[in-house]
Amino acid sequence: MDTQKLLRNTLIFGTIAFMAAFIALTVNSLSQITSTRTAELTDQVVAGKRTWQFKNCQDCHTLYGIGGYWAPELTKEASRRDASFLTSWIGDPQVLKPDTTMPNQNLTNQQVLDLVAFLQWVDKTNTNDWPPTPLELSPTGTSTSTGLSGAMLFQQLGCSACHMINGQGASGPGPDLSHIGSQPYDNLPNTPAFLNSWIQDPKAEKPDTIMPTIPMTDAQRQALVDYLTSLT
Amino acid sequence: MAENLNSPKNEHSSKRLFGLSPRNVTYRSQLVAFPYFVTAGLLLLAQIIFGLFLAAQYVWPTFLINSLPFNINRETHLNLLILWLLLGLMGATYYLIPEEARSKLFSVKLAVLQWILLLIAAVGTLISFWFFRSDIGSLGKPFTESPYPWPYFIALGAVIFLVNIGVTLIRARRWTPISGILFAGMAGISILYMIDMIFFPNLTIDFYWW
Repeated sequence: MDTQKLLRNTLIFGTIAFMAAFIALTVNSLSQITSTRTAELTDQVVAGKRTWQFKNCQDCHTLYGIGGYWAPELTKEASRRDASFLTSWIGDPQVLKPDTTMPNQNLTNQQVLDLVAFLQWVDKTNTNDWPPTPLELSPTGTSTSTGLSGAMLFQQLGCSACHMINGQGASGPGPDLSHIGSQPYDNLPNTPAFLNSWIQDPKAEKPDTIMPTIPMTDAQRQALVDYLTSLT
Repeated sequence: MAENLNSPKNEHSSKRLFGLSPRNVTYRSQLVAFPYFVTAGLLLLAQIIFGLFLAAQYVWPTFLINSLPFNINRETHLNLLILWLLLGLMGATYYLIPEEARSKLFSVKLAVLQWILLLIAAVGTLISFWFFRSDIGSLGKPFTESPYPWPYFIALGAVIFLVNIGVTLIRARRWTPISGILFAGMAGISILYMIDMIFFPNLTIDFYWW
């Protein structure tokens, strides 16, 4: 009987002690969270979060590393894609990439804009540099001028979502770039200088192009140009 | 009164419950665990099947993509998990508590009503996922994708469960470590599930609770 009592008291007080610790940690953590960036939570960001949850985007994508691990991790997506690309992609992914596995969620224009605002808010979260930036150096195929691998950047920056090189990547909507070094495309020049300014701002060269501006450093762009001009 | 309740003889009836003979258990009301176990087992089986489809889609991303898109497949798999776990744990508690408290359950009818509520939630969730995907909103957090109104059914089921077990324990006036921990654990599950129904504007707070 005494053993029973001792056991009961140990379990009851143990549970109470851990509950107290849990509540204290919760209060402490939540007070830290609410003190940061709450002011930037505009109505549009909150509406975007509702849409994100309503449509269950986390079932395929991840934010802060939590979600489906099937579609791309989106915490820092707004740093990689500009708002116009995100807007047209979320609005109808198949227009930009006909064979994409991402379903059209039939969102209203307002919902799409809300979602983009939400992704931009998430993008500015201080994640202590998580997720780590992808490795940019490759043992082979590095650009002579920058030390960066254009071939690897082509994959990492998402170019291969629309373009194909030697059978790798997507068959559209962007042109196949397997021979871009020797065969110009669409009557546009294929000189290094033109390719550089094209990648920097495609719409400045051809206003009706659907190619988005992909944010990247000058060194990355130079490595890409070196890689593309080597494709003959 | 208490003595009477604490006696195993308080359930004289040898009437079968769910086709099972009460002779094999200490208290007839323990038999209410049976439908819980059966449904939990069936949902677990379904969860495993959808889980295998999921595994296939991770390996071959276009596998069945048109008939069973990954997002629907995953939410089906995860919510089957939640529901069989709830049904299984609650059924197990209904089986254990009478032995621990040495008393019959407060109400078999409430337990059956709760089972029906959870079953409706399970079937409703699956139907919403499969056929009404674009019309029905979701809680949209991992493991609690189930769209409204089904979370209300689950929450109501949890409350009925806590009342049923709580009253059984209070009337029996016998708190053992096992029954206490079981009750605290199930109360914790119910409260944390209900916290998930609150919409937090800040994503970081969501992931604290998650």
